[in-house]
Amino acid sequence: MHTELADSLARIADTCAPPDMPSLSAFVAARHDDWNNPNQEDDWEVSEYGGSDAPSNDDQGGGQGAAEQSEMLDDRFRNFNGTSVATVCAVDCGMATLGSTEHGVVVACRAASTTDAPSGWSGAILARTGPVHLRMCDKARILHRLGADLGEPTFYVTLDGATPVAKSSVAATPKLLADRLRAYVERLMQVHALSQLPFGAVLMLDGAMTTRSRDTPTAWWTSLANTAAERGVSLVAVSKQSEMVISDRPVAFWLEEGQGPGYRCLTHRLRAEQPARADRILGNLYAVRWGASGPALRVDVLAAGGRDDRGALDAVAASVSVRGGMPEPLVRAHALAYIPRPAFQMLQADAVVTCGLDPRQDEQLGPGVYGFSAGRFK
Amino acid sequence: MLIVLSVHGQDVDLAYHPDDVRVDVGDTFTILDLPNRTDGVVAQVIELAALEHDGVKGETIQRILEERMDETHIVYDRERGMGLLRGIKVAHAKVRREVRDGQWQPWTGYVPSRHAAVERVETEDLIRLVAPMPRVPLDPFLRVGHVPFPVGGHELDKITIVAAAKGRGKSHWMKVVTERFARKGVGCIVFDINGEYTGLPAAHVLRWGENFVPRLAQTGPGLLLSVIRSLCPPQPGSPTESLLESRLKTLFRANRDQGDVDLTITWLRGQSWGGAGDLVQRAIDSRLRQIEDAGLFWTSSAPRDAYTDLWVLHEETVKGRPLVFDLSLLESRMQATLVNALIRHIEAICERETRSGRGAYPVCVFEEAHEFLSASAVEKIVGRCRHLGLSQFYISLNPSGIPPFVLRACDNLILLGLTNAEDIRALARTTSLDAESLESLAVRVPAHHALLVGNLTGGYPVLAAVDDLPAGVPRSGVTRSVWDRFDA
Repeated sequence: MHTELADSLARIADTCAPPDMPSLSAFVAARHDDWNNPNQEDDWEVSEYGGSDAPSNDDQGGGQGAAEQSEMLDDRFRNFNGTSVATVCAVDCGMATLGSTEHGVVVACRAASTTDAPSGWSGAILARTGPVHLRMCDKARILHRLGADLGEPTFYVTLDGATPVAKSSVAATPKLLADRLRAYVERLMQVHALSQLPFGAVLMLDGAMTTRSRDTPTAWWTSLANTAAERGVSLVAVSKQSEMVISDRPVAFWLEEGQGPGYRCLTHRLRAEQPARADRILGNLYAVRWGASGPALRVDVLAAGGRDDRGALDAVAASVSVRGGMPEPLVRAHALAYIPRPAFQMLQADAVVTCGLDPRQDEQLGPGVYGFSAGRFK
Repeated sequence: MLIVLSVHGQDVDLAYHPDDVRVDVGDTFTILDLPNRTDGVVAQVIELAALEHDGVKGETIQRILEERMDETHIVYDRERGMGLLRGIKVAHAKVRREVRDGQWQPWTGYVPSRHAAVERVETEDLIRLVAPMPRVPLDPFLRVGHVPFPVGGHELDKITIVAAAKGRGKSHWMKVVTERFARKGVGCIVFDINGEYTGLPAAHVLRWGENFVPRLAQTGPGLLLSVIRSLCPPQPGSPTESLLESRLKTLFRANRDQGDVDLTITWLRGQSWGGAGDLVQRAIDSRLRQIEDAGLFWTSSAPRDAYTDLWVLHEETVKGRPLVFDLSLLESRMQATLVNALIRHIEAICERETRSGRGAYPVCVFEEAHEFLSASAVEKIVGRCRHLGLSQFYISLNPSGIPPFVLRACDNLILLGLTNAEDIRALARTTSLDAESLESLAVRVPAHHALLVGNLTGGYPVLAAVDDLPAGVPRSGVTRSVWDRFDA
């Protein structure tokens, strides 16, 4: 049941595994404070390597007629009004930078999907890569593998004969290469989670559903949308840190006129003001407030399974509780994808053995040496 | 392997993994600065704990979240050793000694760095380095692990406090000690409030009024007066009271001067009380008759095998036979009366042993002394114990009831398991051991073990197992229950 996911992760791990080295790589451990879980935020730079044309929203699944779309895209504020519950699944992926080496960076990823069914059943699927040494000299080979698995082998690289060559500005630094890996692992878990869901379920994603971005081939989004449509699973993508501005107003403030939990569809406005941008979004754009108060969040909705966007949002609101303004499945997925400090420390220790590293002391030169600015060190 | 986690004054924390090394409370380690390993400290583990580290709450929450799911599938997992950190423990230790150029010395405040080698001190080495070499060794009855801990008579001398909760082996300890003393020819005088020591081998068990009827000439007027005050006290300020106190001493002196007449209650009843009216005379006589009828003092009709002579009894202890005064059948006032009077006689024995040069000083054992010893009597014998040569053992399950001067004068503390915080705090005054160590070790004494601190151990707290009683010595004093007969 989970073989494909495991195989994909094993394959990429093997791709990243360095060949036998004549000596150990010098390794400087990172601090757990450097932990980050970057979201796929608004990525407005059209990739120079966009690949195939991005599908337009008209090509998305759902099959609503024009009249229904017009009603659905009305930008009035609406409170949630759902009585129909659904199976809700959320996916998240976190990554910890374990340390830097002379060749690149050592990271570890944890991906998690959590599912809650109306019957009360709950389940989780977890994937943990362990320490992965990403060497810059392997960048092209790794990126080629990532692109291939995401549906577009030459998304990140060009081919010189059979030899992949990384495109300029793709993963220019070890950190950016690690970001690609994290995004990849998250995509794998999203696809896998989708494959486990029943008809009528909702799959919640962390981050925007934006095509023609630098981290995910559009072909992958197309495949995800099609699969979701076939399986009757609605996609609801929540962006926690969107800075999108529409009509001179950030998305976070687009629900000030309304009270309580609710939403507004902003696709119409965005299309009128920034049509190219609107075309990149998979599904429709909403400002959503899940809880009783607080700022709104950007949410991209691609409904399926006999639901429209409103139905998908209402189903989520009716099915899950809200914690800190976020639907709880997302919060839980985030918690399960987090690498706590004890695990972080063990991963660092394991990395030394697994990746053949030679730990070096990292001098903590702080205010005592450089004064309050602390120089270039934190 | 143990690693220094933190050092602060006398406190040292050592981190270790239990799969690699076993650490128990009471274990001793040297912590020697690297690279020379000549200077450092000796630390004793007083407490164990799990390692507290950043993120443990987050990790715990995550584990709970995972486990509360109806189904959790970890489809791919290349994280190894995730449970190792949870298994790490911390041994909290106290510095006991300093090491300078490889030699153990009293601690003067030296602290090792974290760059230090931590090595276990084996039991034999610990005993060799801390325990004084006995000048008069007793047959062994204590073991640290499998290694006998040497106990010497001098080291177990003077004031010893034996404290423990109920059923933790106080009486057992004392029986073992009295038996070992007896082997050396030192018989203890045991004031046995519960009748637990009556089975000691070769002991003279004395019950006042039964087989112990002291001669008034030996006890002096004090004991008789105390008995009168206990059994049939005259009204305070009455002529009877004043006449008894004044006339009794005169009569005792007169009898002594006569030389050939036994001083008995009968004789006293036949004496004139000097100007007392008929009423007072009758009041005194009725009291004397009451005491005579109680049979507490020697008369010509006393059983022939009754013990009467305290000096003779003392000579028995010099041969190594314990004296057990069984106080269990006496009511509390009479217990106090007898013991306080005997203490005066014991002091006289000590004075005589000093004058004669023999030095066969008694060893007294008081179980719950505060119940029958007056504070002034205790203070006197404790304060003068070194002058008198009188060794004393105070056994108690209520250490907070032990008089403060006893606690301050304590030479050896024997703890067999205490949980009461107030009792433990009271005992903190007895030794130079820090309160935290005492509190921590006292509640962790295993069964059949004792925590020893004092001259016996060179001031080093030692956890030792106490041997069984020799075969044939009854285990009287063991807690009995009506339900024991139903045990399979």
